[in-house]
Amino acid sequence: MEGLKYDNRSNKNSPYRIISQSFNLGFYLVAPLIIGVLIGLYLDKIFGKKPSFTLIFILFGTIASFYNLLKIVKEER
Amino acid sequence: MPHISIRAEPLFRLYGFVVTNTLVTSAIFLLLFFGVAIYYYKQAAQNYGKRSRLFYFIHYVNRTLYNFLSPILGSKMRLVFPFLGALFFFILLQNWFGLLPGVGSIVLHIGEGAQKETVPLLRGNTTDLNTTLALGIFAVMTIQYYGVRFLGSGNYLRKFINIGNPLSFFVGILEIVSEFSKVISFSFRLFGNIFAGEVLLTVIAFLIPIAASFPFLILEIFVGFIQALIFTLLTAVFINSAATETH
Repeated sequence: MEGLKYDNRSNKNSPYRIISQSFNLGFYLVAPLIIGVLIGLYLDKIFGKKPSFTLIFILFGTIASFYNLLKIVKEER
Repeated sequence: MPHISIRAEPLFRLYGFVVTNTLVTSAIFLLLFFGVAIYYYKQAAQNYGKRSRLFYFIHYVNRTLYNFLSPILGSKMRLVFPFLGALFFFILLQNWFGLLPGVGSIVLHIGEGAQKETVPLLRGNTTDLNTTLALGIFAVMTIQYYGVRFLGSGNYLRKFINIGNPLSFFVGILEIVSEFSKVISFSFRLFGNIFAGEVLLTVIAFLIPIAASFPFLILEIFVGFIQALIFTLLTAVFINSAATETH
């Protein structure tokens, strides 16, 4: 599927962008960690290898959290 | 004092389907919402001079929202605005619907004997995690849709699945997790803020019976507005970043 042609002029300096991002920041940064913990607990329950999967996915969630932070910083710069 | 429960309280069963109090509220709300929407549509089809004041008021709010969001999305706004506007009005009016007198204060007594419970008949729809989760999933799906629409499917999916080198493959997995975390953050922020407001109002009303909850009511009106606006703005920001080519 081809992309639409459009004029890509959006104002990056709009204050509302930053306001909305900062309202979301707390939840957006914690969410990957929560997802990681939930997946880890679920896998541990299935395979019965407590707490190995949980630890692996906590690490993964932490990396994903920092990736989200990096994305926000890159966008707002 | 009523028992505060995070999940919506079930009222009765309809052929095995549990009907909760938020579902009843959302049914009433949706009828009103559709009524207003159809009214606005019918008025817009009429000639100038014949339109009512309510139409112009809704029109004014629409225009303000359009001007507010258009710096973020630029010329993509024309395509995206119907969705964003609907989202804004839906969430805003649902947040405010939960503050109306009677919602939460009309109670029913359900069950018998030891299991007897006092349950509010109506409860604001955004204080149910199911509703906000549905809204979050819907918003994130739409972000994906507009990403594909503006960039083309190949370009857009390359962000998630990239077998060029190991690092970009791992970054693709992180991008997928990031999309899921959008669902979580959308839904939990809205649910948390509105539910906390409801609990605050209940607690204050039982601490000081007279007039003390009035400033908090104004605060909740403000919070409801801000949350609806934030939800819409964030969807706009994410649609914009999904439609922008990444390197």
